Amino acid sequence: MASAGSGDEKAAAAAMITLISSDNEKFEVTEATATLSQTIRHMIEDGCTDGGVPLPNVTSKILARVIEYCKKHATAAAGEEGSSSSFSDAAFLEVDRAFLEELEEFDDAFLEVDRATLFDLILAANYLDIKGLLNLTCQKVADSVKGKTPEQIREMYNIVNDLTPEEEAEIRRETQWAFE
Amino acid sequence: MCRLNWGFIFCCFFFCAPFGNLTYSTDKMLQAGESMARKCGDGGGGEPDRLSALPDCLLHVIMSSLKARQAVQTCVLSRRWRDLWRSMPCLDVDLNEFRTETAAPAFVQNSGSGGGDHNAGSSGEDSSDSSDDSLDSDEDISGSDPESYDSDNNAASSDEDSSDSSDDSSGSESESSDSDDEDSFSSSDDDRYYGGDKDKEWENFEDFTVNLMHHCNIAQLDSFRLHIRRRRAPPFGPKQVAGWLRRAMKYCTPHPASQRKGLSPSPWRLRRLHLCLVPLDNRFKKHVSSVCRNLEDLELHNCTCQIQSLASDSLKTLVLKNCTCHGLSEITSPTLKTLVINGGSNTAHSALVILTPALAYLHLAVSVYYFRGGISTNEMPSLVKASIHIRGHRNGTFESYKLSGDQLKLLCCFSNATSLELSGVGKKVLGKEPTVQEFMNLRNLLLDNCDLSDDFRTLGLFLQSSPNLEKLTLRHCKFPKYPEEKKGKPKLNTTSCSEFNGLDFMCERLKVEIIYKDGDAHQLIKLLLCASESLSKNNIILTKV
Repeated sequence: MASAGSGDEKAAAAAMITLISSDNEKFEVTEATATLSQTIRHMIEDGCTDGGVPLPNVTSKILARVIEYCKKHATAAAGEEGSSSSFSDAAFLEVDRAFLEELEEFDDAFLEVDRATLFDLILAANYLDIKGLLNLTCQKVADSVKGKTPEQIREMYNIVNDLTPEEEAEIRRETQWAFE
Repeated sequence: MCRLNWGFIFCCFFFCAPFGNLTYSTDKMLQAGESMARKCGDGGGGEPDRLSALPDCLLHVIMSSLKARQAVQTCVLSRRWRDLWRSMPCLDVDLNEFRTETAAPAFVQNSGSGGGDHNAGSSGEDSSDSSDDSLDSDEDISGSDPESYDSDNNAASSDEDSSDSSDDSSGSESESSDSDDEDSFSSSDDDRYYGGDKDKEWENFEDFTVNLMHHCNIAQLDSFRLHIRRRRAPPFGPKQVAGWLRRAMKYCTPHPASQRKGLSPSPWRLRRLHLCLVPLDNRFKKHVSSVCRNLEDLELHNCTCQIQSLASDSLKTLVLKNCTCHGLSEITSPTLKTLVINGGSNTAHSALVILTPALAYLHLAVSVYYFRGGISTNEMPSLVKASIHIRGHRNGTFESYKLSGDQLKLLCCFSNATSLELSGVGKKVLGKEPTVQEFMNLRNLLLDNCDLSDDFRTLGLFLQSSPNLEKLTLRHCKFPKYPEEKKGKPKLNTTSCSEFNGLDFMCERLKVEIIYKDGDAHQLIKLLLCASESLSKNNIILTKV
């Protein structure tokens, strides 16, 4: 939801945070949504979010998706205080199974992106320190290589094998115990 | 300018946040930062190698979702990957990865040993043997989803020697369980038909694990999972694995010598330890309290524990699933937040005392028969949710067992919980006692498979002591049998109503859901409506299954 900050924000401003993407687009989100990012949470705690939070590493396209994720998951995390480790406690609280299922479906649909976007999301999640999103996206990559041979992985991700045949043979010899 | 600098510092600072414990050299962080900046710059075109461009800490996150053997095999991908595995923060060593290719049934797939051709299709297809017990389901167990314990247990109880064949409630349990949650123990079913070369498999597994623990930086490990299977391990296998584990722990014991040199005698960084089928003795117990001082998550599946007590000042989650304990008499941890005891047994004479004042979530699913010594707990003021499933006591012959009698005492320790799930609780439990603890915080109450045939007295007592209840769910409960209606309505007899007197205070928001198979649920609805005027008929959902 991209909306430039205007005069009427005063009323609801208390809990709103403006995020500014690398291409200077402004996104206004609630504090609950923004604080899914530990990075932003710390900035809010330090009181340095006036005038917006510049995120020079995140493009508007990716930021929009990240915010979509955070909005959905902010409700799930509602009631949770402080550290990320208390996520599990929150899950134990009112376990609304239907809601958790919905969240899972959302996550699945959310991951239906092209590979470039997926990697952008990983980097953004890491930069913004959003643990759930980082795990989700990294898991997607891990799942895609699970059970694949090194050759297949190279092909999938365009990894250039810059090892000389001798070097590769040596590595295989050193780690023979993992290949036999 | 100033802002840019600041952004960059932030970027570096948060790079390694997921593995805050690991120290990265400034060099590495700068490199990572640069490579990220570079990659963010180019928009795409020709699909560059985005994977290898990720910083080490993120590649480690990805590799941590792979089983150890495949993770090590990434070393031949390219120069970038050559040494990454040596510093992996999570190791998941699983005997399953060493299945030898054989004439095994078609559904048994090989997950790692190079025979990847049949896996080449979609990544979701390789799930039958590699992900049924992979980190996915592990996360559930360690983290958030209490349901998975229930369903896992059913799979296990049919497979384990300790299975409770005389348990009358086990039949109804399995009906209510989700069967999609494949467990490692149920997957061992297909081990029965496994035609591979077990000796060769174990040899490779042993070779791999010993080498891995020699070459990896064990001291820097964040998470360690060691998983073997009963039917495929040689008789000496479990002991051997326990030996490896001890060696790793010994290696990570802080040396007094380093103290003298002015280095910090840092205890093992390890935060998560998952063991399956590993026999544990008092040496392990000692290590947990002295070496694993950062351990937060300990999960033991099918382990044989010759341990009298388990104490830790760091544990947050403890899961004992189908563990055979010999004389376990005490679990003490001031930090523990989640405790799961699912299945398994404890020797007859000892009562298990649980001293965990900070506990927020408790899941107990045990049979009175296999925990004959009983279980007792201290007050748990922070308890949020308790899910208690006591098996076997509904069968008349077991009523003399300690756990049957102790249920009320157990419940009293949970009086602060906001959510209670009681499964298999009998009428004797609450009905006997005239005064029941007040459950002031209780919002959610689920009675599953409970015996309410005492004219709903038990239920009435529960409702009386839970003034703030918002949701009451009765699932597959046994209702009292009323004589066939003769004329018109069955009369509401006064004695059954007495426990329902004075329920007017029940909050207006109370929602009641009744899921029943047989019996007369309408009788209960009448009772409820008659007892509380504020209860609206619209808030009662009735489902017959």
